[in-house]
Amino acid sequence: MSEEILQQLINWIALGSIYALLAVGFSLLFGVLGVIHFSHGDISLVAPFVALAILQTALASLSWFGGAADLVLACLIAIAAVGVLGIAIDRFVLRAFRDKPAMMALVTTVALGIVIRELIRHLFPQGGNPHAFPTPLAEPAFALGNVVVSWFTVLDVASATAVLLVLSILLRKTGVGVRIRAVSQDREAARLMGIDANAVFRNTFFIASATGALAGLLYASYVGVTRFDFGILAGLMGFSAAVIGGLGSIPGAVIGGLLLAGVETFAQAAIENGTAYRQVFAFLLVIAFLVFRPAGLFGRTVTEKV
Amino acid sequence: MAMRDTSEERASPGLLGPGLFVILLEALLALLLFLFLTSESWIVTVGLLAAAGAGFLWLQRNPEIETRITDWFAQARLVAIVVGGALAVAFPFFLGGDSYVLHLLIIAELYAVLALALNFQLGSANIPNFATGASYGIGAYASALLAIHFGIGFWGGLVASAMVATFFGFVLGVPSMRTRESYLALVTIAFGVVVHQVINNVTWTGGPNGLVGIPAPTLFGHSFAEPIEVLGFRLPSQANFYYTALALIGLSIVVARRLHHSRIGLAWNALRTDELAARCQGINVTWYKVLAFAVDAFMAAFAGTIYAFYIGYISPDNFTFLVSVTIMTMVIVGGMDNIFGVILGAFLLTVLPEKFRVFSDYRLLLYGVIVIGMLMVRPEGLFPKRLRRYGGHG
Amino acid sequence: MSPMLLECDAVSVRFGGLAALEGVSFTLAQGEILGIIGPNGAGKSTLFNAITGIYRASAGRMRFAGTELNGRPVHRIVELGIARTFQSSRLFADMSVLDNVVIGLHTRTKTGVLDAVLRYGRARRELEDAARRAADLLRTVSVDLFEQRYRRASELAQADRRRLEIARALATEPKLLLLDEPSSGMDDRETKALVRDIRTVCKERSDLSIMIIEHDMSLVAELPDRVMVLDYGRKIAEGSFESVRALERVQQAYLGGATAHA
Repeated sequence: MSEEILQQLINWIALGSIYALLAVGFSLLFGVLGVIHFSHGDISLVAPFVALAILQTALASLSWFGGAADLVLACLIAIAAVGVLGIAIDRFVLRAFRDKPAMMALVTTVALGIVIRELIRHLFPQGGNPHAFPTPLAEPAFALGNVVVSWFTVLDVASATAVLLVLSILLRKTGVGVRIRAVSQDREAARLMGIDANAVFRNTFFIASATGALAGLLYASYVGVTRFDFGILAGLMGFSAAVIGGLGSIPGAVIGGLLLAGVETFAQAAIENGTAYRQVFAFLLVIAFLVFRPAGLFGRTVTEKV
Repeated sequence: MAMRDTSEERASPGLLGPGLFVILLEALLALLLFLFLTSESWIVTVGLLAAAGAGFLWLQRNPEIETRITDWFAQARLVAIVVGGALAVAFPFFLGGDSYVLHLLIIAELYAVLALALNFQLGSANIPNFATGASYGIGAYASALLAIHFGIGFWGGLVASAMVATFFGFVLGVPSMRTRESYLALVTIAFGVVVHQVINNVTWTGGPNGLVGIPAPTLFGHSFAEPIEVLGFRLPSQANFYYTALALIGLSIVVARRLHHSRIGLAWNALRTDELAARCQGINVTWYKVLAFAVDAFMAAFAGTIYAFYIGYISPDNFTFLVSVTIMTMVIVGGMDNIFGVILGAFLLTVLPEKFRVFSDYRLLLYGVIVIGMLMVRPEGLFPKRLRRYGGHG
Repeated sequence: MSPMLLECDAVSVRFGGLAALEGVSFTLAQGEILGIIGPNGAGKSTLFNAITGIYRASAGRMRFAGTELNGRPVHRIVELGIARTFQSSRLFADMSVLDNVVIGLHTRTKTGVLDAVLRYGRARRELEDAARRAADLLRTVSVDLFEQRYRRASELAQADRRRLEIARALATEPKLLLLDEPSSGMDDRETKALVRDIRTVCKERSDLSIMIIEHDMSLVAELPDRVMVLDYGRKIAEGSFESVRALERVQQAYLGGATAHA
């Protein structure tokens, strides 16, 4: 019994780290855009496909390193590529909606998600089917009693923690981060201070999309497969985690991610047939938050300026 | 009715001019639709599309002609309704028993109703509701379950399922009281996913296998599974549903128009532009948002019931998030807050992908691209919303 | 003595630790025009937001015509008879000028959903009637606006937008009208016309009370019966414009805090 609980705890933290990474991206993008970038989940889940494509074509034929090194290289390229994809989406699509009603940008990001998913489905060989994604480092790192913690779980949690720490420092201490926060708080004032909004958008989209890509890769490894439409649910979970934690707060994203992953893991483990319903519970939690505490756990209620 | 000032020059041709024009234009449109639907040759299809596109561009370049046409329709409103209705009723008779085309038209009709339903939110009040597909599904499942387990027929199910869906519409509307924009969109998406997953996993809805054996409706002893025979003509059984759905469109148009030209439509439009300013005119914004959800669900449920009884089989996959996005595409393409535009959008986006079977796999991709393109290039849709006119001071 | 129309008693509005309004008390009689002045960020608009229910007062009480305002939703307060305009005008930009005013009549019409669908004739008559009243109202406020009634509000010139906002607020049939910098963006000539328009309205509705936030001192000197000065969220003076202007601390508040205006 207790072993099982321990095992679930480990699953929970592994999944929660992934959601937290996604949530941070949503938060950052919401800050500058003013609306939720609904296709962020789909963009993040492009990364596993890029990595697979690299593994199956270029690296397979070259076979420079073999094994784990190939995978690492493919993942790094995928993260960079998705970061650039984020920039491109901002530049060629979302920039047109910067001063338009929020509803338009919102619907556009939802439609973008569809376009991305459909493109994967059509462009990737047999894109409609699930594709196995390698779970590296499945070997046990250490054991807690009889429960084994794999190196992958260690990598997952450690990389998420590291990235989130780096992001917090980046946002507080560097010029890039300060400018992102300035634009998030008041775009007009930032412009008057001579901040180049386009550059800030570029940086934000790159950082958020690359973070999302890491989350996407971890997600695919965690599940063991990936499919063109995994981005919908992963995205909704990431957004929900951001909302629960409070948009704009990195600790909030972590707590939100852990909370949501907790509900999912708990539903899966403790409720009969809970696997099928796990998202139902997660979303009911989100809706409850939106009704009773719309600003989230760590968010500040923003009073509209009149 | 909503007429422009009847100044001398406009009034002089009398009703005859506009009346005749309206009849001819409607007949021409019906003929083009007929050709488009029945032609086997892709040359005709593409030619018609090109002609329609060119015609639209021409109107676009000459707004005064567009105004003139809408004026004529306004003046000869009764003629337009009677002739349009007659053409719609007569249309199946010219199809020569082609049940596939009839099927396509029924689906287009149902989507037109769904698009009109969503238009109350997206068009009138700017509420991004991604759950219309869920309401559609709730309506379909409610009436199907009532029919299978309790023997309640189509007509009773129509009313009952609308009640059920409206209840859920209110439930969905409650979180909307305290949320806006992105958050509200999340609530509706989450609601859609929850509904889909519940239907997919509960045993009494048949789970992923869905429900089969929904009996055909009857009206005055006539079963909808039977063909219609009138005056020596024999229409395939689908015609029953064609006419039912047609009546539903008629009803939806009446409801939509009446709400639009009332204090309620005005209140929705006010909160679309500026929620806070609307509140400061004494509008109970919360109530009007919830109301928009309820009306949307109510009408979507009607469409759902007809769909369930028409196909006779429903499964969770008929009512996914993507259905909601499809409906939204239709509203955006047709023109938000423009009743005619929304119906046109629904017909276009149902019929076009079917006509290009090669591309049918790319339908969703196409929708996505169209939505983004429209919002970037012509956000007001093919037929933009128009300003209200009042009689007394017009 | 007849009770005051509006009584504010030690009203405070705080955001987090920041007090935007601190213990402001005043009363307003029926038919009175009260000017509110003070440097930027003095809490003038916050006061309006508290009275209209947009912000919740953290402390203090507000009574309007004998009714408690605290905690009431915005639309209920409008029903009680308080209407307002906004500092940066917030019209329904994509709707016609006339519709903007018809929406102002919302609380004075009754049609519900079922009425609109099932008793269309009646609903239609009510709306046509509202449109007629709105047109009449537009004509009283400004003939110029009346002639533009079928233009989109977004197409109006700045001064006309301000006027339309006032007309829209008047349509709710208020007992108290709150004007937030109605002259901003207007030149001298337009400001004079605005004063004239407000005078006309007051003559038409003799029992209408007005609170007006202004930076244009010529307007403040002319229109209000009484002036209240806010600084850092507190009331620092109250009285006739002449008496208030002479006070040293008022001058200090303006010199110290005002970078932008005189």
